[in-house]
Amino acid sequence: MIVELFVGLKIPDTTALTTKQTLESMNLHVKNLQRYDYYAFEIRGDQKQFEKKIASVDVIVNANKNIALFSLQQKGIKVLVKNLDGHSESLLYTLTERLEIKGIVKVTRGVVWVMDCSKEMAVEATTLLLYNPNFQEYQLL
Amino acid sequence: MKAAVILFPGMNCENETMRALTVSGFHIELVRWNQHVNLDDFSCFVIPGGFSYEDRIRAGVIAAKHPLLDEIKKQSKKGKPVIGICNGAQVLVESGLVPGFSSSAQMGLAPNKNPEVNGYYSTWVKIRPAQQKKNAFNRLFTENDVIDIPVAHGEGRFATKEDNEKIKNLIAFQYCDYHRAIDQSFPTNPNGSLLNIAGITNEAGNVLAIMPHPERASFDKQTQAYGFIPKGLLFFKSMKEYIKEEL
Repeated sequence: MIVELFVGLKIPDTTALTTKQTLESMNLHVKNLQRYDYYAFEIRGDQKQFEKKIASVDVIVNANKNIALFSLQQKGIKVLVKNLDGHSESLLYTLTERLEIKGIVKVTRGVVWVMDCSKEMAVEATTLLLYNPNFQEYQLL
Repeated sequence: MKAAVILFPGMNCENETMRALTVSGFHIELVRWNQHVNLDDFSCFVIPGGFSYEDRIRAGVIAAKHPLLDEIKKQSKKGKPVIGICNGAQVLVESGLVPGFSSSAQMGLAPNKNPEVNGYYSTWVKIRPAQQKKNAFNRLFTENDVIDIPVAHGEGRFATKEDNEKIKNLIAFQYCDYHRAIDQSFPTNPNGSLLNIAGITNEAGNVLAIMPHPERASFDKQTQAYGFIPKGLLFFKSMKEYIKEEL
């Protein structure tokens, strides 16, 4: 079973702001742009229990500045950018060995960009700025 | 001979880079991203290391989209040398200036693949000039040179979707072992870089993206604690020779 986790910021997201400004300088006028760290956990066991546990792991979610969501309902075009070898052995090790969270088989990481604009513009923004095809891939969610 | 050291916000290696350039015989000027300067006044351009725009999105990509890079591209077309060191290399690769087959990025500097350290990795490595025709940066090195030089990066693994054969001819410097052998495994290759690439040029050989830091291996005081001979100035002096001979 796969559990997806989207981690956003409660505080101003300077990366999203810089990205929006850069897109504007490239004549791509996105009305609103949000960014979420993306995690996909392949797990064995109870999904609800796992979600409760993982949302309180501070190496992933710092409650002082982050919000954790298990689905994204935000308005806009959602683009997931991942490295081609996007699974994270080191995070898996930290979670399973150091923090002793049981039942995780694999962790994949990426970034989800939520753009308030047309699909065509979102794809253009992605191909021109948000991903590098030489070591990354993207998909529209 | 005047060299421009290009500074984007977040870069932090400009002082040692300027020192190495000065000792190599250049008059230098620091050109900040928000200054209006006529780049025709300069013979060459150096983009130093650091963390431009805090590595937001991907290392180097925001600076790569800055209009100043378009100006540097124009200057490079005149044959003037451009060297990007570490973060500067990431900027040049993201801008498409290296390898320069088209205007979009044909390579990437992916996160390191290192069996011992996850993320940022800092150490001394050995590199050698690749068996390539003379370019603007290798002319004072000999075929047998092994260069001791530091690396310090989290995203330094050269990767490409292009044909490796096309890339091979552009490799300027490769990670090697003590005997100049190209061993693709760690620690000889510190980041899993394709074909052990440490530095790669454009087809004309006047634009170099290099991940190790020559400016940190330029003086005895930087290398003597490790017992290495400083060879970093040869990169900049080669550039000077190239300008004298070719421009």
